[in-house]
Amino acid sequence: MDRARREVSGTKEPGAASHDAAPVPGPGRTPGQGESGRATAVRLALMAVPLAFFGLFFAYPVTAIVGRGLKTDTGWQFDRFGEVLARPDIADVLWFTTWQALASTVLTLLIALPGAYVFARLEFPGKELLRAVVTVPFVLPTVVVGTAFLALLGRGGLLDEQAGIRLDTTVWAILLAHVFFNYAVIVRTVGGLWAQLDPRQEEAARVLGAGRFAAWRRVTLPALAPAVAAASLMVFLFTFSSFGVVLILGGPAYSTLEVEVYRQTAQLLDLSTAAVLTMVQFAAIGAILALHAWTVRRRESALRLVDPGRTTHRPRGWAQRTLLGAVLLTIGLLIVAPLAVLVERSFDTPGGYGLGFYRALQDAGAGGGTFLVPPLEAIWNSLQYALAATAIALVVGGLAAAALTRRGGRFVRGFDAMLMLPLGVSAVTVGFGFLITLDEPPLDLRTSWILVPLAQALVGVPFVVRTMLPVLRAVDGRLREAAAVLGASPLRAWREVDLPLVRRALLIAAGFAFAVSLGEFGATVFIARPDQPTLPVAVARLLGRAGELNYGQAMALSTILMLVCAVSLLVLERLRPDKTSGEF
Amino acid sequence: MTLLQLEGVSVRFGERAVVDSVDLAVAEHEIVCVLGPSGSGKSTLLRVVAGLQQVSAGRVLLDGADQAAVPVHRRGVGLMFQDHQLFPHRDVGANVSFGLRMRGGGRGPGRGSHPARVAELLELVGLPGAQGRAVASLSGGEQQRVALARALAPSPRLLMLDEPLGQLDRGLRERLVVELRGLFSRLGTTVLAVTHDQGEAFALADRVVVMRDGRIAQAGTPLEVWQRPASEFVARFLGFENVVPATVTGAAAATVWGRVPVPAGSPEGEQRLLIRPAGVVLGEAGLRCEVVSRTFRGTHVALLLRPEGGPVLEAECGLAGAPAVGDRVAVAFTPAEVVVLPPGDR
Repeated sequence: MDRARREVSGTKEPGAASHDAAPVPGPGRTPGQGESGRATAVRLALMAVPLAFFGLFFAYPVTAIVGRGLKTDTGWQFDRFGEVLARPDIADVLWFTTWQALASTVLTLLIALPGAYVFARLEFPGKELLRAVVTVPFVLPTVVVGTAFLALLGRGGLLDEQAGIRLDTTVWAILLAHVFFNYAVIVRTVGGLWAQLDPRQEEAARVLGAGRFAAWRRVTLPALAPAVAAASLMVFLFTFSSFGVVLILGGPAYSTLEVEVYRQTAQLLDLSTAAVLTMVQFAAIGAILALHAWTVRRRESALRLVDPGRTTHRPRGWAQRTLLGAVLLTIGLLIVAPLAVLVERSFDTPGGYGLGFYRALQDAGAGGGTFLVPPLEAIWNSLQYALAATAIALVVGGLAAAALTRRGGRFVRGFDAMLMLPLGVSAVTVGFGFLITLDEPPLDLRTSWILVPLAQALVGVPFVVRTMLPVLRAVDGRLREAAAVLGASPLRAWREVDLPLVRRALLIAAGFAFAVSLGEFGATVFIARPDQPTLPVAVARLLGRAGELNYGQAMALSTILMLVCAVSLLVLERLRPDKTSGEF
Repeated sequence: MTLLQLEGVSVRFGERAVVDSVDLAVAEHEIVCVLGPSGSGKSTLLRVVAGLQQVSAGRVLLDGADQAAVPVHRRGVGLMFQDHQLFPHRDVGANVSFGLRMRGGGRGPGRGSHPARVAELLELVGLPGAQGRAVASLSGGEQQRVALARALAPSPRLLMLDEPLGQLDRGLRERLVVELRGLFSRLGTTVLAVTHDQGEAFALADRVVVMRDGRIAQAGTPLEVWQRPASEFVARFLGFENVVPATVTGAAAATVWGRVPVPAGSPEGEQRLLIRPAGVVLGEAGLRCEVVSRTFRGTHVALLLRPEGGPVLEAECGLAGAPAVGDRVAVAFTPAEVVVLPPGDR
């Protein structure tokens, strides 16, 4: 208790005193005891909005839908867990979900770590552009990723045409799509840190007699390990809860937990099985997030970081040139090719290359009654929804990040972890939960347009928090004190000092929130009204229909979605401050 | 007229008292320098006066008014932080005018930027025309000047400086300390500064307050403190190492270094004795020593001597005729450079 309070009230000294010695915070960095009460009050006030938001739009719908599945007149049916988990088809789903996530993570690490090194340490023309290119997949909607791989590996795809190879119903398509999707996570998280590691540390080891590899293994690797672990866990998290990619590429043979929840809920209407699976996924995600939080905290240990601009050099020797070539080739085959094929297919009409598919998007009836409105309207819907979702995510995430700025005790860390949960909890569950809970006064939002942005904002918030938090924490508290001494009230000091310093991070957070809202599929597919589909929903609907025109229109719409995402990302890339390495 | 008064001010972090019942008064137009090793609580004292640190006990009065309920931004004091804390996202001019804008309350272009006052202040600190420069482009000394201009701009009734010259190199420091003293006396600023550098404190201050473990060990004019350190701690903090136990009887004291003459009127009995290096005079007869080291100090040579008995002894001698390492010399002591300190301290 006492320890917890002390942690809330002040900063822990790095390498603080051992257990027996009372840790005495240094003067000048710690608020006095009288202040800690007020600081806690401010923190709680800041947390109020995010807590209410998460309670109302996350915990409540998820609990309700789980309750609907597991609760009968006679009480909670916990024996359903045993029944469901004993079913061989469910066991298959669990097994597949786990091993494909593991395999995807390992594969991503193997392919992306050399990339992380190349981006961190080597200098080559076009590097900045390429960095943006490899990040595009990460913000791409899963539906587009699935579609792109379908165009490359699927029936009538490029490989099928050229070599007669089809991978779309094999696990390889899923694994490769996952690598495509998460390449940037490794390159950015690990590479970002790698670029800032002081090369002189390795040089010091060399001077002390370590060989080139020994120096890397004993100096660089231990420094990188926590970042590698944290990034791997993120990749594992994303692939474990993969939905759109598996739905499109997996066919009937492969199903992750998330896809199975969707199938059980939407197609088989078996809510109790869906509830059990949701709980299982929830537990797994909780464990992964706890592990992630632990590795991140370890990563915050004091590393001596330098300006990344000082650590890069042109490739030297054949080994580095070969590595650079291999990485460029990988990026070309794995990331550029699927996107290029997607674009190519969107123009490849039966009558030769043209804009036929794009033109058809203006017509509601062209898809054979798939749509109530022209698919092109989905663009406008998506933009409106994403803007509203971004605003919500910024307010909620911004307040949460402000509350988390001062490191705190267990309660605060719990709050931090809670904000990450929507990344892993089945979006399908959230979407369906919205439908059954937000349908009666005082919260009858079923017919309101705000329902979709609310669900999308849930996935945006973690990105806002993760982007803002490092920057907010980096603002020196004494700058605020300097402003106060010069006559600025606390609010004025925040506006004059904090806000200008975090403005750029705020814009970046907004961009991320915008991109993920734009691509959100799992929840939106449930709650978007038939006459107001979003882009990913429209793409999925088109793909669900037979016929060349539908397929072509899906490609065209995906291309448009990709362009919107890529443009917002390129804007971000210009804004990103060089020195902060965010987690995404 | 007393501007700042501290009455029994204590600050405790857990069990430890960082500031321990400190009483201190600063008169208007006075320059007071708090001197002490790091961790002696001197920076915390400034934070208390600024209102950035709550007191555990005691009162802070400015112009006779208790400041307990007055928040930081309404105290009307200036604080120059140890590492300046210039706002990195504003240029030099905007940094300097910040306090003026906060007081004036004006917003928008033109209003509240106070170009004339900013120009005047930058002129004052020797950086004329620097308004448009980025903070990141400034050298350490220039940052220090901008920080000073920023603190001076709203004409605070009390200006506090935390290690004002701490990060600068020696030459710049010696020049700036003279400039600062001239500037403050010209403006009539009341100043409370803290530093760990005795040279800086002595050059800057009208009055020096030496702190130790949160308490005031000695207060007085620089000359008083220098000539009559109140305790062995103060003496050693000022850099004097020749301190030994002594039994004082009349005009002389018995020590491990033999009989040492003491100034008239010194307290008798078991005491401790400080002999300033200047009072250790090389001669024909007296305590016999071997020269252990010899350091050239510009105006004199500092010698480290190992006497036949007792700890090593620091001495000074002129440039001409300084002995070499390994030479055997004899030393005598001059009473004017001997100070009798109270026993038991340290």
